[in-house]
Amino acid sequence: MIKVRGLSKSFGDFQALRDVNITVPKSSVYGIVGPNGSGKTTLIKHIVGILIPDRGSVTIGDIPVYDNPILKESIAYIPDDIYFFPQADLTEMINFYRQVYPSFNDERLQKLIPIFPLDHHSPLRRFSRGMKKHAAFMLALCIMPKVLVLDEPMDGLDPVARRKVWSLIFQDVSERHTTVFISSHNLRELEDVCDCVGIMHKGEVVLERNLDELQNNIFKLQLAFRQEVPDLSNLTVLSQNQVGSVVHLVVRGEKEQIISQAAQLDSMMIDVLPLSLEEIFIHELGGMDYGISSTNI
Amino acid sequence: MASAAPIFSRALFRKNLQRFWPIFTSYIFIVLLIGFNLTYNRRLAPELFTPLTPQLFMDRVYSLSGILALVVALFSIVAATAVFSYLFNNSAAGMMNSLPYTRRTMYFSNYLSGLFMVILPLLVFFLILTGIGIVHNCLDFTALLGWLFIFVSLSLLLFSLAVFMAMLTGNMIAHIAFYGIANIIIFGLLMVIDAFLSQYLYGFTSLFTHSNSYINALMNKLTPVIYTSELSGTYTQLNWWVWIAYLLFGMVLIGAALQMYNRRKMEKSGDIITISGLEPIFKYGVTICTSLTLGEIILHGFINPSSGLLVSWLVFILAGMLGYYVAEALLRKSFKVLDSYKGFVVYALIMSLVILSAWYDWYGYATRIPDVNQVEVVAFSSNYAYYHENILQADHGPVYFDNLPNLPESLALTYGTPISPEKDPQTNEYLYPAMANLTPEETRLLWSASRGVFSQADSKDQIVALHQYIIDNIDVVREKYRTTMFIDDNNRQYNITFDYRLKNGKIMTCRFPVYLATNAPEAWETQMLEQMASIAGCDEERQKMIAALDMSANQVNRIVLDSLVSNEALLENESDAITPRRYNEAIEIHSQDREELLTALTWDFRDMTNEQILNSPGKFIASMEISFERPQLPVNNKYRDAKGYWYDIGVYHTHTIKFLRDKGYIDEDIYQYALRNVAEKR
Repeated sequence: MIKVRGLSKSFGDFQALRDVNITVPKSSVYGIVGPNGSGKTTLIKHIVGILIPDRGSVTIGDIPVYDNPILKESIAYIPDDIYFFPQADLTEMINFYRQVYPSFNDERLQKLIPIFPLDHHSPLRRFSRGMKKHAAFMLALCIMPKVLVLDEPMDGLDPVARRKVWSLIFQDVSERHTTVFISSHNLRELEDVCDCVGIMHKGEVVLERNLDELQNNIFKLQLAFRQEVPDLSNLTVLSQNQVGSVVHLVVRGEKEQIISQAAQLDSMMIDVLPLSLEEIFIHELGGMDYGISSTNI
Repeated sequence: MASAAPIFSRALFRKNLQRFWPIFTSYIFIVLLIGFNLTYNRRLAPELFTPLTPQLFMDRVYSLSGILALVVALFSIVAATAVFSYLFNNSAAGMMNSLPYTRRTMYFSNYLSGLFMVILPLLVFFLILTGIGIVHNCLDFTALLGWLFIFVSLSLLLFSLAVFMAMLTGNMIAHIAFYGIANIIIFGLLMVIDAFLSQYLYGFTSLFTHSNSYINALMNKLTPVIYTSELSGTYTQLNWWVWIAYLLFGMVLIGAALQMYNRRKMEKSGDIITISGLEPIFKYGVTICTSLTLGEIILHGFINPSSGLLVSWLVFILAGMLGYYVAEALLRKSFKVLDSYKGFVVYALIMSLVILSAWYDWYGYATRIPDVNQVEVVAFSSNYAYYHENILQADHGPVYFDNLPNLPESLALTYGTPISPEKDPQTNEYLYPAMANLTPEETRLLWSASRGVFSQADSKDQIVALHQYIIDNIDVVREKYRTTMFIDDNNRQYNITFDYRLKNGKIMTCRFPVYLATNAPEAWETQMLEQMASIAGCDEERQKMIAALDMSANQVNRIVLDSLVSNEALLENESDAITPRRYNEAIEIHSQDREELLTALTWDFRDMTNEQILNSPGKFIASMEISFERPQLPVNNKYRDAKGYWYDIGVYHTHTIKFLRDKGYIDEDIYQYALRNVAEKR
């Protein structure tokens, strides 16, 4: 549903995005991950039509997003740094959203009010970061979005609140086929919720996969040898570590293929384990000046 | 898709009014306060117990123009900053631009809400003024509608300008600063250019002289706040095209700002300049303005402005360097800007070239001279005395005759006869025709009566000859002027000014400030002084001086000697002899002595040498005021009762001094003092 094609953007001399291509299927949860400054927020600001691309296109359902009010009526966006009018309280913001978004749903609002117990008459500027996130989610969900774009949405939320929010998002995805595009540093959390994952590095999307596909293509392999470690060139080894006679490898490939290749190495032990998303992220970016091994000062 | 979207969002409009209501309510409050003060509170003053007439009422409404123009300018920027404040904050820009609106809708919704805030108070004020007019039966509805149109045009222009400036920048402080600068840019630029050229270009005539009046007029029109603030005196002769032009230009700015908003990169919030192509303009604009403005301030405030080429060049270059690096730091948001020196080097080279070209007058500015056959009339002055610039172009703009003692009768009759023989019942005064452009004949008549204005062939030849002599010696004249730091007993300063009106109607002004030695002058200085003296005492000039005194004693109402040198001062120390008496010691000349005094003064003007006329009155003795009337004019003529004309009486007025001594108006010691001074001079 969301298609980004050949998107490039520069801020002066700094190239923030270069030839970005992603596809977000309808009714899916797409997680975009990447180190700080990799271009995630810039990409998101293009998806919701805030920034003008230097090159390339962003479409939803094959319709360009930029300057398209009809399409934007169905997009809810929660940025990392949430902005409300300085003097406004929640009631005023609700009224404003009600006037701006034709699809604003008061019935849903009434259901959300007890879930997010907030003071509707205090100025929002006095709210904590977490409370502002609550308010933003309440407003975003009330406009009944078809596309929900979230930039580091869970920062500042406590574990209970996170669970509540995810539950509401899943409900929208399952019942209303909402498409969710989310950026986060919390890979463990994304691992639990995402259907697809894109990894960004220095303005480029270096990897885009279905999460299952991604996790079935890279494994941790433990081998033990009596004598010297034999030649491992028949395996696609991404990293290698040896403790005594035990060799720890991260290997790319199908699980069965890895087992059969390992079996030819005369190992005393063969153990194949799946990698977490965090481990995949580290290993995928390891060759791109982003290794984290043994950082000492 | 975008073009089909609505142009305006009621939600945004309403939200802006809800958020920024203090702006327009305080604007309404201020406008009402000002209006109340002038329309009602003044009724407490005795003269305002007279009933309001439509003209008096509109006089008072228009007398608000000065303060109201400032209030409009202030609230225009406040409203524009408020409604477009989200552009100056990254997260706010993100939130607003993620809303389901096109950029055009966002722009117009915000623009219109801001415009509403600056127009509403004017409408409220207009309605209240209409109410007052109806209640007091003094309503001139057409004139009041005209007033509303003027201030609506001004508001639209200034608010659109403020919005346009908001599109240029992503920084709120820069927005306010740019708006302020844009409002006075023409005035400011002309001022600094004028000061710069005065500094370097010898003989430069200010841009703000009467002969450049079109520059002043243009400058005022291009500075709407100033133009509007001057309405109070001229509203009966409004130039509606100016207000229509303001309105149209305001609309052009609306369109230009929309185009910029459509292309605006929202990631530029916080930047000083949001449009990349304008960054060099900003950088070098700041550099030039800082160079000229700060340079002038430093030169005039801390260093002697005539400190020579090297010092002033250094000051202008260093001031420019400061401006350049400040602009660079603002653009980069960093103090690490020293590596960008190349742009400054280029600027410094160009600036140096401009300074050198002006200093050494590569343009031949100081050596311009007209062909004497092309000169219709010339106004000459060596010390800015006598002459009023607008007299040369009396057929192009109004002149005032009040200071002309020998006013030709035909002019007095044409412009001094009341429109109606009856007095205006409201003011109990005669109404006189407004001063208009004179006919060519009247203009020539005026020249023939004005001192310092020369139209006779001999006089023109002498003046052009002096001008040519100065040009032939321009290097020494200029060098002496530039190297003379202080005026002392050895030098006297003259501001020699030639204002030519050529036969093609053009005005050519040439000015030569010079220092000439009083003791042991060089040959060129002696020659110049002689030529200046022969012009000052030429027949044409003497005839005008004598004609001003050509009256019978019966016409004279009063002759008073004032600011008389005191005897005590003379006796104690002659160098303090200019200490005047107090004004309450003025001496009135008896009526039986008036005729003799006028004769003495006439003889003085006949007998003074050319040099004495040039340096008249010599050492000061007294001021003399002669008040007279012109009995040949009708009683109700504006110029019949001539106001007092002042003559400075000095030691060269030997006949007058002798008469005053003989009649006992001054003491013998003052007379002796005058004789001594004249003898010493000879």
